[in-house]
Amino acid sequence: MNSEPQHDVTLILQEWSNGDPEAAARLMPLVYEELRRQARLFLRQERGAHTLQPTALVHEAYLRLIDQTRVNWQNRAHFYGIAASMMRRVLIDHARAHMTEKRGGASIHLSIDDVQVPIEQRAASLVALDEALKKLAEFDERKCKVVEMRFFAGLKDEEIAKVLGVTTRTVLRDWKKARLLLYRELSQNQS
Amino acid sequence: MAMRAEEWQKIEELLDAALELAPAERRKFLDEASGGAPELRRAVESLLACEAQIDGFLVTPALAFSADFFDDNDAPDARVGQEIGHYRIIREIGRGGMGTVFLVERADGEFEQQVALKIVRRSFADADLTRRFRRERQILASLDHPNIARLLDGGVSDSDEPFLVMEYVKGVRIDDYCDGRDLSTSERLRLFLKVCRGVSYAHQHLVVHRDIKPSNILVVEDEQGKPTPKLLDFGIAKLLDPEQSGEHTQTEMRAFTPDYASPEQVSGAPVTTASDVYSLGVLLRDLLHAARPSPDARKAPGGWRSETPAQKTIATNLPTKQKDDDKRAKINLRKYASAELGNIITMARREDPARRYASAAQLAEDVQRYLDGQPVHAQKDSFTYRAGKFVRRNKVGVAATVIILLSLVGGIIATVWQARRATREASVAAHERDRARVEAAKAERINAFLQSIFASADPSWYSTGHGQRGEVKVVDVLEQAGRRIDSELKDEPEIRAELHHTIGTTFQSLGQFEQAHTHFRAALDAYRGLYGERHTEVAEALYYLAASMYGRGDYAGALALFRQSLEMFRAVDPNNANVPYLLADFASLLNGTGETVAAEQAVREGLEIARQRYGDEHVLTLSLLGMLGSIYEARGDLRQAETSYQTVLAAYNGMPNGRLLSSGWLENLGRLSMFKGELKQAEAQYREAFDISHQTLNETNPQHINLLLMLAEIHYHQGAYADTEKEATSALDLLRRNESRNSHHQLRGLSLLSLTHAKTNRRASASAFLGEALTMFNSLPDADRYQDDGLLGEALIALKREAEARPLLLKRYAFFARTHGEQNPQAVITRQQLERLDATTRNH
Repeated sequence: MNSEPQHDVTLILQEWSNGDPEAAARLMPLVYEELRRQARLFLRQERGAHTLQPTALVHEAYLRLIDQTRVNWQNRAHFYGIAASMMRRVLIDHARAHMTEKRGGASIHLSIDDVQVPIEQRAASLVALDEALKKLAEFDERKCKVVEMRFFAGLKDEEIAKVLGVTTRTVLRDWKKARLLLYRELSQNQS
Repeated sequence: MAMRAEEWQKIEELLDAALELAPAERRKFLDEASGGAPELRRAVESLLACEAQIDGFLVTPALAFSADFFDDNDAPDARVGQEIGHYRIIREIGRGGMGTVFLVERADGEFEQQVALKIVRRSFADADLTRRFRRERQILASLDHPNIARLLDGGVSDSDEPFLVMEYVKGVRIDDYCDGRDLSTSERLRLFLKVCRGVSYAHQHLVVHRDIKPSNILVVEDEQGKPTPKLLDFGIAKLLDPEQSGEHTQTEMRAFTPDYASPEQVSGAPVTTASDVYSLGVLLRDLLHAARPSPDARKAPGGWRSETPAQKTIATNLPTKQKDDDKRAKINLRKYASAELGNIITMARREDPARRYASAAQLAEDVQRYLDGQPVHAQKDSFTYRAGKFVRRNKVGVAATVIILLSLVGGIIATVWQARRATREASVAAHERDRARVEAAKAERINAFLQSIFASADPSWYSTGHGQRGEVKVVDVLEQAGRRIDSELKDEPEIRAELHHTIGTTFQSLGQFEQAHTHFRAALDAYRGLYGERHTEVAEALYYLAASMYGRGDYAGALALFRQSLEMFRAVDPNNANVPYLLADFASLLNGTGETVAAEQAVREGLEIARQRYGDEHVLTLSLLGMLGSIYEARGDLRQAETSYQTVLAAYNGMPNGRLLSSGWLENLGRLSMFKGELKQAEAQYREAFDISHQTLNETNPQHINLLLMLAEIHYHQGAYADTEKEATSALDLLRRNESRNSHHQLRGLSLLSLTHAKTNRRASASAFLGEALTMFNSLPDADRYQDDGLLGEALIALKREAEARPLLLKRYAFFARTHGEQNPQAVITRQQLERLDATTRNH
């Protein structure tokens, strides 16, 4: 496979983990592109089936981009944190492309059932969620991260706890409170 | 106004704490914790209000419904211009589990109308589809109804893709429409009615939808803004179900939506119109309990919705106060008065298809009745059914609930409660119409609340409590109800009082006097708050409270309250239907505590009223007659007593189910027999009384325990110590399970155990039981400590503690001789014990 970028990304990840703020900026587009590619591949095969597992995407990206022998668990945690953000961006960007209505019409259901809903409306829902998340991050960034990792990247609570360095219980509580906040925000927007 | 981190921190702190609490406790917690910061409180509450709605929210990973955002090769516009059958694709409309839907027009220009074309997913298609489709298509295409999106055509494309062509509906999902337009309950119901009409129409044409759910119902508005719901995909589910081909027996691809699918659909049983009725019930539920935060959320200052100046202006121009009040009223309505709607939903969603509404039309009719303000059909049956189910589940026969009580001496209280209800209803009927209507409305809301309790106690849902898994006990349900009353009906003191009263009565009938007492106390407080100190309702509440105290053995307290209640009735409502019942209970207690003269007075007064109002054959009249016998017995006139008891028993023998009422009177006869030394007969009478109570009462019912102890006592006198020990142990065990602190029963049980252990040479344990009994004895007031049938003194003698036995027996004798006279059986027994004791000590 593409061994060249692999080493690159691993190195960048290490630099970033070691405190180089610029490394993140270089890492993100690489992860983004990998996830996007994977998503397309993945979704083309599995489309419509209810077995989609976003975690697989992130794991796949990790395996492809990172040289396992040269990273420690902190690097790995950092990667998953970034990958979740990128996963969010990938999905939102694609949703945005399908959005014809600017506002309104967004449903807060955001569930599998929504495949019946016109694509524009679904897209609007995701974009609305994204905007709510931005606001959430302004006063509670960790909760925004939890949502990214669960809803967008499909990570398990235990994995999220490791990435964030908190207990699983804290993740569960954050997840609930984040959903309360987001639900309230979205239902207010709706009316 | 975005929220600041510090602001959120404060909110989060409270939110964390509140989330840990049961919903019912949160209000109280917030009252205390957010003191002086109403804005903070509102912010927390608005978040808590969302809790009920977030169940499925964000649970499915985004990727699961983002698939077609990525479809570059198969982009929405990739197939534009392609022709399928006679149709040309204009654009893609949507994509789902069953396939992709395109907006199309006729390629041959036959007509210009734009229609929707659904290409069925290959995995759903089967070789047989084409044949089946031809068979079904004509039927489906014949469905012509304004609330059904019409199926126009169908076939298989050149590239072998099966497709369906239907009316193109440019609308909004019905649930989104309702919430987006903020429709009122009645507007939602009217919309729902139209859905029912569509379904009903199809049913008449023998087509079952099989997949009714919000995403299959779109609402379109005409120029005047009048909404019309349209059902999509009618009959398609069946068309696509491989099982329908008759050649497949696999069920894996059956298309339905779990939450909306009826039990028979899930289990794979035949699907009928009743399955659609079920789904309609789910739809109604979802439309009415629509996802929305409380109105407070909209103005929550802690909210982080950005507010532009323009929005502010609009907001301040609105008569917000009025609007909020309306909304709150609406929500209240939704919560309580719409209990009828709850019944409708319940009836539509019953597990057994045969017990649902017989048709969508009947369901619609009931909804219409609700809209017209008429009582709905769903109501009564459903409650009775559930209540009945619960009664059965608790192994208490229906006849038993009538009699369940028979609780105490003479079995009076039992019959009292039942008859009281009947008279109460009669008196309501006699009232003027307005009053009756108020009562009816009240009863309805109470009924609804209880119904919701029963509903929520569904075993599959209910996982905690004393019952085993899958088993719900009435008591658990009632306890749950009891806890919810005060929080959920905070602003409805009258309803609250009635409910406490009702639940107390039920506990009382189950012999759970502690809980009954708690609820009667709460009812009394509520009634006092409503009507002041002196009022019929207050008098009645006092009476019931007294009865529960009687039941738990607090005789002194009960006596005082009986007096207070009687006095109040005499002052404010002397003809109240409760009075003769009260007199009966009061007399029973007076007799038990030795005030036989006052007891007889009360009985005779009660008898006069009862005979006049209800006649000689009435349960109350008979109970009072038997009560008179108990008074004779207390005075030592055993012949008269026996005659009274026999009269009552003879009357019950002539009544259907009368045997079930006989238990208490048989017990009385048994006691007489025992006193006369006819132990065999006594045992037979106790045995029969016990068997009856076994059929009708929970085994933890004090009356049942009492009979067990009587049998133990008889066996002791017969020298069957092993039986005694077994029965007394079991009685004490049941008392513990009942969490009842009935000291009389405990005292007797412990004394009997001490006696049997002493008689079988286990002195250490005998002493231990005796010690326990003595501790209890010493903690009791005089009126209560001698209700032990003399067993404690007997145990002291058996353990050679004569020095302690003598003063105790002397006091006991004095107590009964002074209060009831020297001929009182207990006085006689004690005198005989003393004489035996003297004889023994003389011999030493």
